[in-house]
Amino acid sequence: MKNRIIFGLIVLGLAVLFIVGIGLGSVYIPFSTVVDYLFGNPIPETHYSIISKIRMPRNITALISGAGLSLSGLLLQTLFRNPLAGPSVLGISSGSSLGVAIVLLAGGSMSGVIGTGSVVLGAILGALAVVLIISAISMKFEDVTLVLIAGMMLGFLSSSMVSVLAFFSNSERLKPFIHWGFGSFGRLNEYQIPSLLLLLILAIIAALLLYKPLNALLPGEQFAGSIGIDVKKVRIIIIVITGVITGLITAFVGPIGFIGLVVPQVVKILFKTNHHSVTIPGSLLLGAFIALACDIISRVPGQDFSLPLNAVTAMFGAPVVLFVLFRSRFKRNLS
Amino acid sequence: MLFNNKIKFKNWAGFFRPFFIATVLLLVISCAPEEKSELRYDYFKGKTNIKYAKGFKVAYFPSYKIVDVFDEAENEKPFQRYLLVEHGTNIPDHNKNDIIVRIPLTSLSCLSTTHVPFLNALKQIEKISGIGNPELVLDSVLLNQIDKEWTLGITSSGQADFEKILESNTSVLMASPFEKSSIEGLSEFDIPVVYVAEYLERTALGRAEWIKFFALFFNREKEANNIFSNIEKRYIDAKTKIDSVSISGGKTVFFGSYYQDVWFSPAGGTLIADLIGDAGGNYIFNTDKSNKNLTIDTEVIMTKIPEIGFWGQIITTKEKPTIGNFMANDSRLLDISNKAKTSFFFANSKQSDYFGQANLEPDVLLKDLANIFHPGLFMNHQFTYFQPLK
Repeated sequence: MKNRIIFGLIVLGLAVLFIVGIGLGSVYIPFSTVVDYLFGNPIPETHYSIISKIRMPRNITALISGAGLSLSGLLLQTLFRNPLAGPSVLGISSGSSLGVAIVLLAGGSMSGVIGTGSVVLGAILGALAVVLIISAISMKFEDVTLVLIAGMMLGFLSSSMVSVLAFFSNSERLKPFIHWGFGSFGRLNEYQIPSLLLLLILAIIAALLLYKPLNALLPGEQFAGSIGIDVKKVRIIIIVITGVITGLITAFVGPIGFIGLVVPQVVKILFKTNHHSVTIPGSLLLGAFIALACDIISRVPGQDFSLPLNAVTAMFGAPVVLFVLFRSRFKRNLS
Repeated sequence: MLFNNKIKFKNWAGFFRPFFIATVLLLVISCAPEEKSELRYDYFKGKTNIKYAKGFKVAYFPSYKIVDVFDEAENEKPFQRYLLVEHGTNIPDHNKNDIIVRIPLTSLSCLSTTHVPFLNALKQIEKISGIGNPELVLDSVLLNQIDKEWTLGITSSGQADFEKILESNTSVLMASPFEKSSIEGLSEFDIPVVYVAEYLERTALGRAEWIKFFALFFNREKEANNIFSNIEKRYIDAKTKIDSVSISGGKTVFFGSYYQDVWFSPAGGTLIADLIGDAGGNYIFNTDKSNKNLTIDTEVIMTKIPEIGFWGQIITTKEKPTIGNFMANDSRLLDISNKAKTSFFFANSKQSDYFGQANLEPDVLLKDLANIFHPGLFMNHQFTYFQPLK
């Protein structure tokens, strides 16, 4: 019952934020116009274009990205049995960035089917490569700290390779890459969103189908194996899902930090359970909510400037990570 | 008789009727716009031809102009092709990637303030409905328009803001090719993006000649031709005077800046290198004819300082610059330059419109530099953009 109330509140919050997201932007649009738009009443053409072609796609991209990154973080935390695992911490986002950097700094662009396709492919391959390496390390060594450090080092390595590529690149090619690196939910148009949404839905279905093996993985792989779970197969599926989700979202919106790491933590605290039948929908909904909230904050309502999205997610995420760390240490001290 | 006359009249009327109908038809056809009239009517009385600029080309047709913009002077394939089609005439056959712009423009937005002086010179300032980074605008007329909200700011934190661009109700957006990645999505809103690559020109006259490019969008070629030929004359006159006093192999000139442990300096094929050469200076990287920005290690700079007579830099500050600003406050470099008695010069973009009005005043840039390299050569000239460090 309590869980239902929390789910209901998150959904209600999402609806409110969605309307706020449509109403706020750098151009003032009266609330009555937003209401007219939502009810299909005629509104001025410029306002219609701004809402339907800029704010709606941006809001939907934020929802999809937040949900996708949170799901990816949750799966990684289960796979590595580590609350601090996430696409940005394990270097997966950096791997995607390296893939994108290779494409963009070699003269590629985000325009057209071939351009967008090559950037997406670069991002997915970069993400998958890092997840595979991390996975291999985690199979070889049980030590969770070692896996985390290895992930961070892979992240640094990818970032340094990006820096070297950027240094040797000319300013014309560097600018699109730097622009991409700030992260933004406002880059996808109404034609690109359906493909991103479709892939996310496929990933969600796959994750939901996996919730029983995922629950079995929580106590450890040995336990999962003892009750007949094909651990190797589940591991590969998780790697592919997280690599594709992270790579795809990173390609379109840029490297967004903290959401994938923080949201599953908050969900576990809110719902007081690790059970995936709760944490998967919880992470999807709360991820969408937090991404939308961060996007609205980054637009700095009423001001003539906007903040980089990554800065806002970090401002929100870092205190939560510290809270989780101190909380777990505090509990350990008590016991 | 009367009867006969009536018959005659009827016959005459019958005789003239086809002529009358033909005349009416001709009148109707000649008054109707589009296809037939534009075949013979040339809408563009004033035409221009390009002499120095390498970044654009124009070809004239009776009711439209084909304009190609290049992002690299050596490229044969244009970066973007535009069809500037006179209002009320048919759009000719074109490739799907060509961009159609109806001219003369009634409104435009510029992402860069460097375009403003060109539009000011052509008396088209009032048509600017949106401007990027309005806080950088120096033009008083445009500032007034911004104040009255006739011209809207169209950037947020330096980036193109689509919502504001739409609100500005602009016919086109003018932007630099390097902005392409951040404005590609605008094509969805049927706002053509016109790429302006004046900053890629390798000569100061080539850059000034972009006034003809802006003129194409307003059918103001005649005015642009006049303005440019005056600029050209003043530049050539100044250069002739400089050539008469310059001796080859004069003092070596370095131009560049320091950022995060690396020195950046334009290669010998760039506009500033060309300008320094025309002003009688011996540019240090003249042998490299590319238009790249060279990255140079501090050790290399140290070995070069003794041969450098003049050391130049573009600065953006409200403070008075010091030698330390030029030498990255590096005591090792300062010692060497003290011994070598290096002279310093600068252009301060906070105090002069170096990135704007200077584009249309290459002769002033030339005289500034010539008076730095050959003090007193132009007796009545006041330093406007470049000036020596005192």
